[in-house]
Amino acid sequence: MSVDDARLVKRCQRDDPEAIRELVERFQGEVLGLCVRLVGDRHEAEDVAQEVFLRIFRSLHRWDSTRPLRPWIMAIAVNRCRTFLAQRRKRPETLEDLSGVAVRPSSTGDRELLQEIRLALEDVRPEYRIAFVLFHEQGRPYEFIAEALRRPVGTIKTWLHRCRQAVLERLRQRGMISEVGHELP
Amino acid sequence: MNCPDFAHKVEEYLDGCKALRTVLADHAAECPGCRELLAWADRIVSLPPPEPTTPAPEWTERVVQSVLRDRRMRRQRRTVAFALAASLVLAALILPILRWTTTPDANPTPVVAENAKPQPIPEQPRESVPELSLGPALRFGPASLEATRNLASEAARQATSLAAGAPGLRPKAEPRADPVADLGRNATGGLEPVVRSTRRAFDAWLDLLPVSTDEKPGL
Ligand SMILES: [Zn+2]
Repeated sequence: MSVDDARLVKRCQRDDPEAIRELVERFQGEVLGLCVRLVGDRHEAEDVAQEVFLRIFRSLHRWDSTRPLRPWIMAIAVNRCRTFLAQRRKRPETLEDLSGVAVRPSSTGDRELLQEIRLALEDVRPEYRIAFVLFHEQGRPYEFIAEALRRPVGTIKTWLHRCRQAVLERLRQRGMISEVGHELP
Repeated sequence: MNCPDFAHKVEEYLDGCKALRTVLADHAAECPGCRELLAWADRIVSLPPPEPTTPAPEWTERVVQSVLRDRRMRRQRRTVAFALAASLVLAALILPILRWTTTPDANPTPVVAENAKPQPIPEQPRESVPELSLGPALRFGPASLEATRNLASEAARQATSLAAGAPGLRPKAEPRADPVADLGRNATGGLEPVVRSTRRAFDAWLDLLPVSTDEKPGL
């Protein structure tokens, strides 16, 4: 735990506007970055990130000051993104938006492979995508993801496995991996 | 290593076991299908982290202002809730006191009701009587007597008006205030008029009062 973080949080709880600004500025890049990555649309991500900060300040009193602040904040961001994605998934226009993605031409370069993986992630269930991004892109351990998504580690492992299978299947359909390529177990 | 083994090992590699890379590469060199799977897995494990996104200064300002506004509103709401809770607690404390001063005793009601049952009341030894009704009477004194008297006459008035409005319920005997000594003897035949019961109950209760408080110094 950073003494600096704890002190900053204490000042925020006393409604010090400068402290509030400092906390927002300290974490805004990471929070917004994660929101953009998970939500996709920049404008929507900014709205979600704003809500993340509101939630952070509303629950600052619940932060255990013996534990690091950053993962706690990122867990709130993950949770908020998850709720947003679950709600957006229910809106029919979103499904149409995502279906437009599937008609892009395939290519074989490394950059294109990365692009295809990211597009494939758009089509999987939000919780699969979040688990994938947190694990493979952010390098978070299973325990962190489990805590952030309030699910057992076993569930996270299952989600991740299914997500990889879905991505692999999609790459195969798009011709990025030949039919010869083997399946995951 | 065969291909199914390879697929399992790829899962472990994806889960973070980087040391498996060499073993996997050995099999992939001889197996085109597995080679593609490994290339895909390599891409996954080397995915770049999401880049921190620098927001526009206006966005930061917007967030800070919304947080400040939110905290202000929540503080106000807390204050209102606290004031409301405090008023409720105060009201809960003050109301019984107000009631206490305006209606000195509510206890005579059950005493009257208990005694008003139209059944014979057995003779009781004189010593046991004060324990039944003396407490309230001593505590509230004249005010208690007055309240009981009012209650009895109100009950009598209502009973009379009820009986007047329902001829079928007219009692066999005329209501009258029997002497306490008759208690239990006249209560067996026919419909007992409520007014008589009430008066009897009241008289009986009056009779049970002690002559002076010196008899019970403990109270
Ligand atoms: Zn093979």
